[in-house]
Amino acid sequence: MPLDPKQRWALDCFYPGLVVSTEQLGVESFEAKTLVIHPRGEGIGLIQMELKCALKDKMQLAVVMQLKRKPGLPGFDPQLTSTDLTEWLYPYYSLDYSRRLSDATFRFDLDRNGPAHVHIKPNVKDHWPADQTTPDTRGMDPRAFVAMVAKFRRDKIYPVTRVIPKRKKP
Amino acid sequence: MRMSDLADCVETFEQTKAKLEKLEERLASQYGLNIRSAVLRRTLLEMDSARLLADGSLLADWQATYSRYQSWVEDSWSVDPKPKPAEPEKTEKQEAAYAASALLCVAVFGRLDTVRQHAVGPEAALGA
Repeated sequence: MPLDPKQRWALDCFYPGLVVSTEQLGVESFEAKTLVIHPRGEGIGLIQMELKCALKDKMQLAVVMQLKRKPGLPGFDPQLTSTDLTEWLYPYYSLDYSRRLSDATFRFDLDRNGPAHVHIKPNVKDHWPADQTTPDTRGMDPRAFVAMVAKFRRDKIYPVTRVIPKRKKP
Repeated sequence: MRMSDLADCVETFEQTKAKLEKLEERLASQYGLNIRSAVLRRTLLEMDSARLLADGSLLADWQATYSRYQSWVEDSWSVDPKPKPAEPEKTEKQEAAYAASALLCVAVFGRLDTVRQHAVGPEAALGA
């Protein structure tokens, strides 16, 4: 199944190059997901974009980005072909590379019920703080995530490591 | 792309709320939670914080929809400088008591499906 045209428009507008670099991973099919928009005035106040696809080797890639216009700014005019990402807040995101969602190879999340966290080896069920990883994955651009996936698939070197905070001496 | 071209993507507050409640009903059914909707959200949030909800597309959909719902709530509060709580204070306490009792059951009995059997009413949990 091809990518929904409105999802494609939004992803190209907010993250130019993301869809192309994802396709280069070897996409078998995209999952049908509807773009979600909350209006603000005559424009867009919030947008939820989803790029979910099955790869030819049975792995999955899922990018869900929720962007909210910063307070005080007018709604985004969708006739514009690009946007300044600093004008948006990121209340929710999920960047997942896995065989299935419940068993991530690695996943970076932010939701309303806690701080940004990652699911990484050796225990992918664990919520490890995103500010205690190398690299720091907080607010990662999805294009950087796809580049990370591509490098991992090529080099087989696990791309994220935990940083254990040093204990303070008594 | 014009705004009118995106009309079918626009989600109203009522639609977000309805989607959220539907997802919460499905989660409640999955975990055997037989509690009323006003309390259910808080219970699910507590369970999520305690990592008692299994990863999967249902949980991810609920978290994303809850975030959109909260966005509506934030926007409505920023418009009204003195917003009034939707429900009286006593109800808030009752909700907290229901949520606490549900979590207590999970902690004590170690099984989510026992919540339905052992959850106590708000008056009992508040010591009334």
